[in-house]
Amino acid sequence: MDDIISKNNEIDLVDFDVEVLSPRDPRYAIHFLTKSLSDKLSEADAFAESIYNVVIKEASTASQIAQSFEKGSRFVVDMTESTKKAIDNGQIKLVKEHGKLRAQLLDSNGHYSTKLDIKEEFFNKGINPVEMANALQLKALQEQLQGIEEQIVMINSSVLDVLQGQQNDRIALFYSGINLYLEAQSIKNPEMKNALIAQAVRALSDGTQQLSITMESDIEFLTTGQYNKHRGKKLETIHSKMDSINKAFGFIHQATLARAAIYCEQNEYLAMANVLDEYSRFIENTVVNNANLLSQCDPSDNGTDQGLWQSRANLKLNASDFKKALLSNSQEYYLSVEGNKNEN
Amino acid sequence: MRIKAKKGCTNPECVMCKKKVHAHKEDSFCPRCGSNLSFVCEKCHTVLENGDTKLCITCQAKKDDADERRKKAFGKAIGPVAAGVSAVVAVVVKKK
Ligand SMILES: [Zn+2]
Ligand SMILES: [Zn+2]
Repeated sequence: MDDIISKNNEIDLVDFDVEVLSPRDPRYAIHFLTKSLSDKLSEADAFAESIYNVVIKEASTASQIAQSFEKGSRFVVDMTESTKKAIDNGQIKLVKEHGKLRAQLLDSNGHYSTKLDIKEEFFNKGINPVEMANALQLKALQEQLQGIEEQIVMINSSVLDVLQGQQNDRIALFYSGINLYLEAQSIKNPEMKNALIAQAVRALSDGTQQLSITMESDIEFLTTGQYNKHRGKKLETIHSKMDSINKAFGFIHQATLARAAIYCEQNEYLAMANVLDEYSRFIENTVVNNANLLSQCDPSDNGTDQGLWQSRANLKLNASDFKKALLSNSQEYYLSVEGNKNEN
Repeated sequence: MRIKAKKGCTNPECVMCKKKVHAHKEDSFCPRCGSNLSFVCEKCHTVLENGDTKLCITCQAKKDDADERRKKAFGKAIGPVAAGVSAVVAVVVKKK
């Protein structure tokens, strides 16, 4: 496994399988998050396709609808009707009602069919339709999510160097969180499994908390010029604080991604959004407000917009918009198929 | 607060930035590339948020450390001499 942990700092999101990457690899957390997000989105795609097939089969107006679509067709989920695409393939309106998911087919005359209950039995996978609806909601927010992901990947590239080869006792909680979660995967008893997952999340959030406090007090040390008391050793003192700040930031970043990934895998999207929102507020409070000071103290920074700290400060996660959209808890989705329709 | 900092171009593509050339105090834009000028550290060209210092924190600390070392070294070298001088003075005083 050592060769995976090797020199290459580049993030290669396609080639890596989080299962073969060691949690001690600095790239672990970002792969964990991107993989769980893409897994959920492809799950949502599969749901969309099954729902589409079931509804078309059951609906009486099915004859008007193209019955098959070629490979490469794209399912599009929207949360508002107004954004709906051309509906020559038929569009399905999904409504969450009293814990149930109901579907209506919209025909080319703009008429809705009678409501069809989406039942678990349709899918012989034992998937709860409400869970399905949640996954569809995530898919409807795909673009926002990708924007957040891009920003995170950018921060990530700036922390990898710091994290390479670090064996710091302050990050013990990060590893323990990851290991607890991995352990939970092998446990069949659902109560025990959930308890372990809860412990994993707790370890990661405690770790984040501790390191945030450390980082804030290190920054305060610099803003208040306390290094001036260390006569003859000012530079050394500043650099050791900066080293500590960089490490703390790196692990806060890692622990945040891991926590978001766990929530994502557990279908807790609002909790995931909360974690990301908390992270963007942390960046706002500690990094944005102190970016110039930090760049003046960081030997690897020149303080420009391209510099390490200013570029971190310029990141806009927009996690609060994502969270708001999730919180709106839309009861309606519009499902349609785009592209590669059969033309004869 | 009195402005002490030099101004400079911070466009990484620009020669004025690459060569860390200081701009005129009265200028607001880089004469080469037209970018907005920023306050920069006189020594290393790191961007300074406000112009009330000449040096960035790192360069100031380096300078302070060097001054401290020089002071100590000077102190060691000058110490015995100074003691000698005061001894001489003391002798002179006594003679009077
Ligand atoms: Zn210029
Ligand atoms: Zn400097």
